[in-house]
Amino acid sequence: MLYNRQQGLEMQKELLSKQSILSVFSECKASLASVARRYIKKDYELEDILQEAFVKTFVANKKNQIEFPKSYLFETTKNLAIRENTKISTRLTEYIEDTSESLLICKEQDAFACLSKQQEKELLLAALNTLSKRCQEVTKLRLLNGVRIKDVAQQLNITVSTAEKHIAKGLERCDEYITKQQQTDEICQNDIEPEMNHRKSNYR
Amino acid sequence: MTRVVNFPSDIEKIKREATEWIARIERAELTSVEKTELNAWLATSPAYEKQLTRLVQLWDKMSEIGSSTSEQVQKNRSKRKRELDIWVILPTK
Repeated sequence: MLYNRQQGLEMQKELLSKQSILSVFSECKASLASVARRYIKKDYELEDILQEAFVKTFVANKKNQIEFPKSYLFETTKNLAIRENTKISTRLTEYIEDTSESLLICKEQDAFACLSKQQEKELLLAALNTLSKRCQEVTKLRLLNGVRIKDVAQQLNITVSTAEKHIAKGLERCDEYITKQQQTDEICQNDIEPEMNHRKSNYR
Repeated sequence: MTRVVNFPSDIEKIKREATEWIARIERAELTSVEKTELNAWLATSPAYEKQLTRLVQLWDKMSEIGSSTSEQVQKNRSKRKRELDIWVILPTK
């Protein structure tokens, strides 16, 4: 006998919509915490991550009914924990004695301000793709997968010190690539603008 | 006295050292000796702080594409699953 699975899914959807995100969140909070603990070191980060995961799920559900809120919550928690784990500015503040001047409080002018999120992502991925094979492997495992340096080293059968050197080199090269790209864009922009102005003056 | 940094080669050196500090922080918790060294390094001149801040922001931005990439993977996975799950055959009584 053939059944339309879509009908089943619709019924399940209806049922789940009745269940509030909050009750799902409360029910699996302990498991969410243990997922987050796999990636983060500081307990004070945990509550923030769980709260943000809840808010993100709640907002997403409001926008467009989420089919499986539990798995959405777990995935969001994992992603947020990975992001927090790789956020160097969070850890750096603990080491700096005098942050009153500028570090991390007064932010550098955002070099990506004129780019859309998609353009920014494309530029960063393009920068990562210019790295040598091993350097790229190390940097991507750390950045995109949130794997800790010592685990990256173990996974790739290299020393922790080598993995650390790849991270430094990877960041340096990515920065060089991005700076070069932005300079090229600026030159193009400067070339286009006088041309545009010239055209405008011709039309006057 | 604060050292004045003007030469591009100096900037390149500062950038390299800043990336090395970031990698060191990525590797593990800094020891108290390393913390002192980092603060001394930062105190050399404002250029050191500037480059470190800039590169830290770049590193954090790159880590954000990691989370957005995995979110996209999850979305694509759910979409594929939905496409495959349209019809199922259930056993008849």
